[in-house]
Amino acid sequence: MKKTFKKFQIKDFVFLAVLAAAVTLCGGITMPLVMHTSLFGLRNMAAAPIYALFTAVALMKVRKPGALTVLGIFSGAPLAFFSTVMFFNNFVAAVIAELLMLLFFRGYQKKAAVFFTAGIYMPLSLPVSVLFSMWLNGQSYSQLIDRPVASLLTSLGTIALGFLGAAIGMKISAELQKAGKLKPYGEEENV
Amino acid sequence: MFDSFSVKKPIYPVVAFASSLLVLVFGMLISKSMLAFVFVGVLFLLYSAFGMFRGLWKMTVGMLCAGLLIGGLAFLTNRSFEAFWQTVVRMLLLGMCAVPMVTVSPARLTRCLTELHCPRIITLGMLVTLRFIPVIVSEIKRIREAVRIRSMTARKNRFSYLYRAFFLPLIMRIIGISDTLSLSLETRAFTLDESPATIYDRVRLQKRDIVFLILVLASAVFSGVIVWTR
Repeated sequence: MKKTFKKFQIKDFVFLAVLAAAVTLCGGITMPLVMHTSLFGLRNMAAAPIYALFTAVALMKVRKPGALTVLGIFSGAPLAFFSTVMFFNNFVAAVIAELLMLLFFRGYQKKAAVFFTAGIYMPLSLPVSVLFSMWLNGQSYSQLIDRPVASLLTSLGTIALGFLGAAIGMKISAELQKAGKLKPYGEEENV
Repeated sequence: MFDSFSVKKPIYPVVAFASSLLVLVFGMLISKSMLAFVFVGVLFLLYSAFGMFRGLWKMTVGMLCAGLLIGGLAFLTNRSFEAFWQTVVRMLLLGMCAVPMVTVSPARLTRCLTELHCPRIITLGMLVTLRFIPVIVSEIKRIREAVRIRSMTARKNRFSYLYRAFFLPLIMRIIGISDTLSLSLETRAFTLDESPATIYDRVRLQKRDIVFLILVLASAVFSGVIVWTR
């Protein structure tokens, strides 16, 4: 029987931390454009493809349960300097995504598990965003009720772009694996 | 966090984090009142008195510009002056809550967390993430330079350009950097277990840190009380 949980090594943490720096940077580019929009879910929609792309690459290399949570903590760390809630947004979404992955796939052995987890990571931050926005300006929930069609469209857009980003990330990872540049850490036989 | 925000006498990292949290919570609670501008002014004076003026004015100007721009858009769409000034004050408050934390250097933060017996995984990860943001910025610049040299600017709008010429080289560089970094950590006998390690230049809690925290708390509570009793 294969072990579900594998021990993390220094190289896993270092790779996830460097990738978290890139995620924060690339994700941060979109933030000023949509930071104070009143439309629910637009912020998540803008960040979804970039986060999903890098998450897919991260999980293709570090195929160990907990990798996304670690990435969520590290990519949330710079955000904590600006807003503590943004850190929890990232962290909670990562934990829920991994729990769902464990429930359905029991590990990252299959590529479908990586695709699924990377794709749902950002959409899962939507409910946390509702709480965050309610706390921040007390408007978001009423906006969600007031403009349900627009909110539904941005939510669906977040899901679609999340899975699109994950697909691109998987494609990049496959190309790099073929070229021998991306060796998965979690699969001993392939290292 | 960033060199341009560095100060001579930084606040103790945990105090900086606590004060950021206080400003965020109280600021957002009172942001619907015009008195929030007074709270911003009090914090501006307080931070300046504790030697953070250099980073503070940069942050304030940046956030004010962003607030005016976004608030202006909010005014145009909602035709509400209230929406305008609330956006401006929220942006200023977000900047204010970020200032104490951005003045803390990553090395100082890591040392402090290590002294507080925070797991080595967290301290290492945070240090690497914060330290490598400028490295990734320089890598992105190099990739863009390489693209320009190969005169691929005409294809900039194509998605395949982004994929082939930007994301692939960027991820290859990230893999290269992380491999080199993990190798250098392992050759220097860095371990993830709780084996004893020497902390170079200990970070200690000083009286001025406690005074700073008390003053931030007092100003936040005072502002809150005034707003709620009006």
